[in-house]
Amino acid sequence: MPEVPELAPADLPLSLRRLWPALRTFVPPAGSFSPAGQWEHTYAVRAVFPSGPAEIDALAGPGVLRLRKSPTAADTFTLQVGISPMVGGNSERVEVLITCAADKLSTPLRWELHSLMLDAQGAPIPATDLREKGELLGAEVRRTRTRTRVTPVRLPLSANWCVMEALQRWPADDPSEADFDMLEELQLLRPGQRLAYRRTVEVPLAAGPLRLHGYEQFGQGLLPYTYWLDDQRRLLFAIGGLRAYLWQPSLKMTEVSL
Amino acid sequence: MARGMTRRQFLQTGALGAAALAAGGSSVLGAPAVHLNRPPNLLLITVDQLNGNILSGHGCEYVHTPNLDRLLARGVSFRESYSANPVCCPARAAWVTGRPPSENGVVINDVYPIAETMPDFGQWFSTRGYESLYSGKWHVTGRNFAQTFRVLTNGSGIGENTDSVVSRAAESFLLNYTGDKPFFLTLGFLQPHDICYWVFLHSQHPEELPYPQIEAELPPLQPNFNFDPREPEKVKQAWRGPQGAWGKYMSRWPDWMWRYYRWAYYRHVEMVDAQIGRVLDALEDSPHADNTVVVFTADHGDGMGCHHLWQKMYLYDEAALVPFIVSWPGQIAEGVQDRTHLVSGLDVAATLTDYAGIEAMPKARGRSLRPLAEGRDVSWREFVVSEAAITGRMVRTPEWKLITYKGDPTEQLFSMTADRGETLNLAAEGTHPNTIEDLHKCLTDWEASLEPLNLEGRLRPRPQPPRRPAGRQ
Repeated sequence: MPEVPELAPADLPLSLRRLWPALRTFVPPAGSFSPAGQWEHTYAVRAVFPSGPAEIDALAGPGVLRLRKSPTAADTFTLQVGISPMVGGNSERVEVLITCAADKLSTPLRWELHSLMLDAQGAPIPATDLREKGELLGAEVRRTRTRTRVTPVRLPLSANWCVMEALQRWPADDPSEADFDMLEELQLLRPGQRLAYRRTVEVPLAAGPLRLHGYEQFGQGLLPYTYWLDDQRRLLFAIGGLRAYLWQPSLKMTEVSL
Repeated sequence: MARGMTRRQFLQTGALGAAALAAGGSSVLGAPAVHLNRPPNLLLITVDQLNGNILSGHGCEYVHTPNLDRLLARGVSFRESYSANPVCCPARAAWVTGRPPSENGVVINDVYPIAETMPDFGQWFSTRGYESLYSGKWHVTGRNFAQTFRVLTNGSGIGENTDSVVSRAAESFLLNYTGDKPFFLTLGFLQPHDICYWVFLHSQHPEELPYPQIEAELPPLQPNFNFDPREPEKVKQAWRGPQGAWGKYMSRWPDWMWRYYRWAYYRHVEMVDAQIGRVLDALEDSPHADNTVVVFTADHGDGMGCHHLWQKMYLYDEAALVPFIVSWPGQIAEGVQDRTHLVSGLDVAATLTDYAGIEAMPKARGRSLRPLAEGRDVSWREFVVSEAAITGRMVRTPEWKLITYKGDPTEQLFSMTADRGETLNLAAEGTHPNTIEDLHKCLTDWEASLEPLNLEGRLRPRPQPPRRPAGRQ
């Protein structure tokens, strides 16, 4: 078994050096992966400070993001998203069911969002239930709860979770850049996003070298965001600012009836 | 002194607080459109480390803040608004007590606790008919906010992880609240504070811009990037010394690194803008939209590379100038940017108690902005004082800013009309002795009106070394 250095190799990109404390013991997934098929990914949501994943995780525990994809037709699929953020005390659970177009950015066509506040013990807090439905009609997003709110967008449109799904279906050698508006968490509009392949690197892990393909995203309301996919086109890591998503299928999300 | 008042009388007028002002004066805009049987709900939205100029609606062309601009369009923005003390704990303690840090005891971050007997605005409103709620960052040393408010969520100390939970908690509350009492909801967003960690991350700057794709987007250096080195020793020691981040790293930053820092700061501002949009959407969609006063402000600003500085804790405008917006659609002026009146973080409590129709907090030193927001012609303060780093004081008049640290021979005087960027220290030029003397008189009178807390014996041991940057800055 190769020895893994304690400090990140200096030639790794900054985004991977920041993840190094978690990366050096990372066990890459084995087996094939079909991005177009049915799959489920679970990510630990970690705070990443200049020196790497922080001890704050030990206090609040990592957050969890779960993405579950189910093809529904040749040109659409559903993406079920579960989020449990990394905060202490009262927290929240969010479940979203998105019908996406099977296009380059997994355009969100329709969705239902349900959120609930939880107390420190994980129990639902009464009267915190929220439900919202949304759809993309032409170049307008319509979100409905007590009333319908219409937001003009520039097409194509994606969402942060949709980008994570879509990248896995991009051809490995596609050099093109995608320009789009992004509806973060399907509520917060982030116009003017750009996403493109940047580089491929080899990371020396205990389990052997891992080749990763990096994509970078820039735009309003976003620090440079980097996504790292393996040779199977499986999204393993995403990092931007202080937040990182690390592929961790063993992580369980507390099930809440929504 | 204008309007035939002595400075002492002027100060006393300020100390009388909101009630007297609210009762007097005629309204340019007429009386409030609606007289409500129930006091209005109050929504105080705070952010961490936002300079008052960094909104697109305030003319910053490098940032996009459509949601804060939405709030601007629905209210009055006080452009000459100063933090009571430009660092987290003192600024926040001033908000919640209406008294300056030298009185409430929280003079620096995390060390001195708030005066135990001094009420905070959560307690004040809770005992006067309001449902008081809090979500997000609190950071008032020595006061457990869970004993003061009903806490919706307290977050994690990292803006990127916390702010969406704060906004969702607010959204959930606003859309579900059916209580009999009016509510007083305070939201403590953390962004753009994460810029502190960005600077730590990049302190040893890379050889070249790590993302060449954004090179064309980097904003230029600020006109006041360079600074007059004739600064107080306290500032030099804290910010220009060889042992700190400046000496070790930032003094060697190339220009593009400072520009990259500004670019990153603007992205952090946009992050919190979106979260505020979620709250405003929820308020609009709720039954409370017409009966809720929204107040928006920040604890302090950020250096943004101006004067070769980052962070806060000093009294240049980049750190001390903060946004302060009051909005109540249909009830007060909309789309107004007030550059005339000097306001302070001390005014938060006074403004809120005034709108609530309850008595001002004990010995609150601030003034209610309500008469200004309603366009009434009232006499107003001629200067505002901010504190910093225990001994630092800023006296700001419409024309001048004096920065002085007790016992420090070097003072700074800036013309805020001719040199808004604070690049020429006129005190060091020796050209304005009378102005300096007059500003010192203002400061002496102001301080004579206060009841400073004796800090001796009040030292609170710091918690064990924060290996985790808990965002408590």
